[in-house]
Amino acid sequence: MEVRIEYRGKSTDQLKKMAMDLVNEISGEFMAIGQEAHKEMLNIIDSNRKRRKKNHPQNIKDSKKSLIDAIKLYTKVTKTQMKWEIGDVKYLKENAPHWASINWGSSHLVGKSLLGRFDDGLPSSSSDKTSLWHPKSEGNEENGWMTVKNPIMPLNYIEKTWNFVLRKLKKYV
Amino acid sequence: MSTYRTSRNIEASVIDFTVDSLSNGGWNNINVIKGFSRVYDMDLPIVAIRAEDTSWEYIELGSNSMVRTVDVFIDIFATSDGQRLDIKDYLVLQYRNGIDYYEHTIDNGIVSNKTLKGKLIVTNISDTPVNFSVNKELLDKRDRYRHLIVLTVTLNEVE
Repeated sequence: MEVRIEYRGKSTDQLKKMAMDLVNEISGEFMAIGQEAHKEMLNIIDSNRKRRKKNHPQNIKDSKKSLIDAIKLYTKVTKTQMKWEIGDVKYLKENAPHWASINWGSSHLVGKSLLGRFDDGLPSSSSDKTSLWHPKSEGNEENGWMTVKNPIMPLNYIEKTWNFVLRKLKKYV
Repeated sequence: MSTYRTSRNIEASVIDFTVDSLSNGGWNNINVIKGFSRVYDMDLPIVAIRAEDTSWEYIELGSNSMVRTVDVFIDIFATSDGQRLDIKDYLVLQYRNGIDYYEHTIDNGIVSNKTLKGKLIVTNISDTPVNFSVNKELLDKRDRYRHLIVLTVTLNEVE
């Protein structure tokens, strides 16, 4: 005498395989969300970055570009665990220490004189009309030092990326 | 005379609700403002509110009708760590029940009237301490005790 247990015509082995296939599919989609979230975060920062003109001095640091380069995607897949992480605070502190100010906004530079370039559309005060430097009235004008007047506005790229991930995960909940 | 569009109404409704809630809770000395940059010209404590990203979802196949969801960022600038925690806890408890939605009418650039038109449903709340990972004494006093609440709200109306 033979006893066979089936669910809707499927044996337990077939049901086990269906469950594993579903787990693998969801796991694949979960890992894909990590990649999409990473791209989304970089896109949020990049879309708020002012592009330099062709003949801009290369020695002037582009803070948002260095932040983009420092935000990496870390993935780990083992037999029992699957995870992804975006950004590493320790690495960011060393390579893009301004990551927090760009995310949450800050006034720590207001009133300071820095060597940099701020586009205001005004022509250079020098006789060479192709010169890139057009210093403001405050600060040390002679060497192109600028005085920061406004605080850094918050970009909230972390919170916006988190909301992006939540919307993606909604379909599984 | 003109009226605000939906996004401005949402932002203004959250601001009005925050002002009323803080006043009802006995917090009488908190500046509630729209935006962010004016924070650094004002006295603490401050709550700065801005409506940022909007996501749109189609309600059904074959239709162009959508429902919008808006992320509202609420930055808290406190005078101490304890105040920071108290303000954010109080506000989160107020927001979770929903926020009255008003349509605002403006006359010569000033809000002349507002009409209650519904309720903003809060579908998600997150709150995060703002930590610059530096000694607080090196920070501007406004950046020392900060907190960020992010509300995800929807009118649940088809547009």
